Amino acid sequence: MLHPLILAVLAADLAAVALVVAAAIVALRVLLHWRPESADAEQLRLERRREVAVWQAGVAALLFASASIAAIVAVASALPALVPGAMCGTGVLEAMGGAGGRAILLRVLALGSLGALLLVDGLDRTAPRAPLAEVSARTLLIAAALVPIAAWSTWSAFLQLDVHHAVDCCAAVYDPVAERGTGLFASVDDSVWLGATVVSTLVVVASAARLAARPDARRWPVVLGSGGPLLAIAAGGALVRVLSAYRYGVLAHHCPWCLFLAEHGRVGYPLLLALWLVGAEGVAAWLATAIGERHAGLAPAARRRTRRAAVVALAGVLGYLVLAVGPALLWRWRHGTWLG
Amino acid sequence: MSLRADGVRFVRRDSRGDERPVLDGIDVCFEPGELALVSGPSGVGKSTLLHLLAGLVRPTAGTVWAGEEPVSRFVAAHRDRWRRQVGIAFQSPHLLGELTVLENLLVPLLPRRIALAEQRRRAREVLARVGAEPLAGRVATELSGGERQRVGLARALVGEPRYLLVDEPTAHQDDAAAAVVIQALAHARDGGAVVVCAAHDPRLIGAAAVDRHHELAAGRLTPCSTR
Amino acid sequence: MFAWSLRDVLRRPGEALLVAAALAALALVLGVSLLLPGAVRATAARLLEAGPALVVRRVDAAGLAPLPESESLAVVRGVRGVLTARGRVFGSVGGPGGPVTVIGVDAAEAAGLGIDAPSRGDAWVGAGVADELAGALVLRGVDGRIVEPAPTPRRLPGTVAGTAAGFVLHRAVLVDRDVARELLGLPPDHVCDLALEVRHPEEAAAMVPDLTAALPFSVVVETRADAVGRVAATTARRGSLAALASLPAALALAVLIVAAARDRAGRRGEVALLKSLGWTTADVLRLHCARAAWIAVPALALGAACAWALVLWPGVRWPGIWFFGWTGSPPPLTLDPDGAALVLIEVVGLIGAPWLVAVLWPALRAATADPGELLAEDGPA
Repeated sequence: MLHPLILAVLAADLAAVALVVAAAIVALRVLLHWRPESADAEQLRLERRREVAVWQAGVAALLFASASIAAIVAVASALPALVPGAMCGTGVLEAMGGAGGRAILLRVLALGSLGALLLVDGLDRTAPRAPLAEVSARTLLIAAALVPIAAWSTWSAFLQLDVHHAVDCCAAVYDPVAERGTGLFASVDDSVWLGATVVSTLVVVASAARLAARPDARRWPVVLGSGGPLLAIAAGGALVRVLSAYRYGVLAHHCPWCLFLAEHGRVGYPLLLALWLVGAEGVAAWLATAIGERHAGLAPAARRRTRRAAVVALAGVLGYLVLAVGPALLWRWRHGTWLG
Repeated sequence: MSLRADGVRFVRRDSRGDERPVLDGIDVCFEPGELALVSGPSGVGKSTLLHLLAGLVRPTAGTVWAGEEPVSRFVAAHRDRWRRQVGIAFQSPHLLGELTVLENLLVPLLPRRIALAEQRRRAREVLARVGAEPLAGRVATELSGGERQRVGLARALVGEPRYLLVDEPTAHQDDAAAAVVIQALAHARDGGAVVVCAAHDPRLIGAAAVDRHHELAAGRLTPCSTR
Repeated sequence: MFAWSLRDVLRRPGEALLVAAALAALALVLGVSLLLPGAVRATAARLLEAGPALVVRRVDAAGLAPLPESESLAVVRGVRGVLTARGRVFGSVGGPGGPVTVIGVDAAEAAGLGIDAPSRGDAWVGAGVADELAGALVLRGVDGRIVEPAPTPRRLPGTVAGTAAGFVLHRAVLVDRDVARELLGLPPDHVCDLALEVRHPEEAAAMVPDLTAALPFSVVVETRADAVGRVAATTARRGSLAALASLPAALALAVLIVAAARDRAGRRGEVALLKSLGWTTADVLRLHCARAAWIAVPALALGAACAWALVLWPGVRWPGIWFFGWTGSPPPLTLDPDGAALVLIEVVGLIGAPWLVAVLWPALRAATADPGELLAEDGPA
């Protein structure tokens, strides 16, 4: 199964792994030999190699993110045509036999670690003496462990893709919910998803608005840092379980992947971006503040980053509200009733 | 802001791995609005001192300070950024051969967010200051040694640096051209820049524009005169 | 910076032109060798999709055998799910300049093709046969008998039944069914195979056992999916051979990458000078990126566009000789452009990415070194 998109994912992943592993070797040397007070040849060489490694890690993050987008496009739009019975990405994941879901989870973790690395390096660059060199090296080592695992699991998932046997796309979508399955997604009631979304939205909007106005406000970064990922999960659940019906115009079609299809305006892509921004930037605000508190020299840059994270998280919430909640409100306004 | 060397030591390692101390405990402070001259025979380490002051290399020991900032302790990326405040004219001017003189002068301005018209205006103004305006359209490889030297100086001046470091600016110049060069250095000094000039040209050593004169010998800097 | 990078490229115009020409040639060779099999496969699949859902052939100990038309049609029409069925008469016979495909058409089939039905003494010929005719059409039947089906055959139009037919009917001769039977040595009321349309094409495979059981002789039944798969396998095999042509291209790419890397490594002094003049590593990389883009983007776009034109321009003839091993006058092909954009993007990525790395990596290494040392090594004079 060598679809061009799969090849593109593989190539970008391979390049990212090579870059991040090479950078990790330098990171290891930084952890062992970094002596910022020294100007000897060893330290100078390490500083130069570290600068290259930071660039490498940045390019690796870009490549890995691009590969992740290509993988989503492949699963959502390209591969369903090749899997008998698959109408969207749900069928493709079913044909991967569980490996697909694992790969997505690992990619999210790897992307998170790369995002944290970029944040740390971004702040570190603002100080002349690289006070975060060792923190950056540790983060890079974590990323260097996660990225190859995520890449390998993605490749395994594509290899396990069974294009010879038909899948039942709808059974995968309808049955777990209809039978109140045991998983988090299927077993939790609609009202819980909606309630969690409303509460976490209020928390994120309040904390992000506060930090956008005053990025040095205490405690609020922790609130945004925990509320952002919670909102991303809750809003994702509410979208699939309740709000997607207003996009599909059909009750109880709890499919996340159909949102990526052309007939639904490929709205899944901007919605995924919005949820990612809310979750990732929430954590970024908290991380930046924590770094700023520990390193006084980085405090101004950390405040700027916190403010930016808060604004972006707000934009993410707004995007979600417009794209996911908007159609539901429109439906209510037009028809005078909620679906179901 | 001043430019200060604090116990700066520099050891050069040759291809066989043998170490040779070039500078051995330099303590000096160059103030804004001052034209300082460092003299000494060829090979004594004047260029190395300028490179150290410009952050092009890092000292083996000691620190170079720009105001309160220990620039020699900055990591490479930060020294690059700090170097935008520095204008350096090398002994060998290192012009880009296939470009015209005017284009060579634009090179330091390119990464800065300055409109192209303003870049050209500045370049022409500086060329006029070093008496090289007629050379603007000439390709760098067609210039004589003296002309190249003056273009190198103009390139150092065009970014309006806070720290101007110049290596043998009057070499290959006739008396008239040397006077123009000294005048250009004095102009930068009068604009508030720290001007450090390495030379062993008697015309420069005896120039009235020089505020302070140090002699470099055996890796150490000795003050000779102050006006 | 972007405009300046163009000026920087023009510092060495000859070198830039040479590199651009090499990149364009690489994109052309790789593009053609990857586009052609895909386009042929897509075209063949499209043609087969327009063909019958099921094809029934009779087999005996000697191989394929003719089917009695009336009897077979009566049986298969009785199988549940069969919508229409018709017998087909066709085969390979000797013609002017080599083998030709003789197709026996009746009035209904001719009407479907949008041509007059050929009667005895009349024939339609494809462009490849018409080009080689010198006088009357003379064919050699399977039993060696010389037959002159038409003194003045008519040339088939380029477009038949609303589609470009050059690929299929280039070396075909369309004659009256009985004439075709005589040429192919078929008994009267016998056909080569049966073409079936079914009510639900996705269930065609499930009807194969019913058809096999219904007919009173051994048959093989091929579904449309089987046919598409067979053509895809053949095309993939030919495509692999065609891809051998891209091996020298890959070597050329490797040479180009090494040359680019060495060239950039050789210009470390220039990077050092830029850094001593206040450029940061990011500035240096931006310049190199922009410089690479000025050369690579137009070159790769040109190479990819030429590859597209060579393969997908309506009426191209060379793939007939190169890909299908056609001798004589090759058919004009109008291949399907499905998926061509993705293939070309892939080609651009395959060439552009390593080349960009070859340009940027040495620049990054030089940009992160201490400029003073590099200037001492080999700075510009």
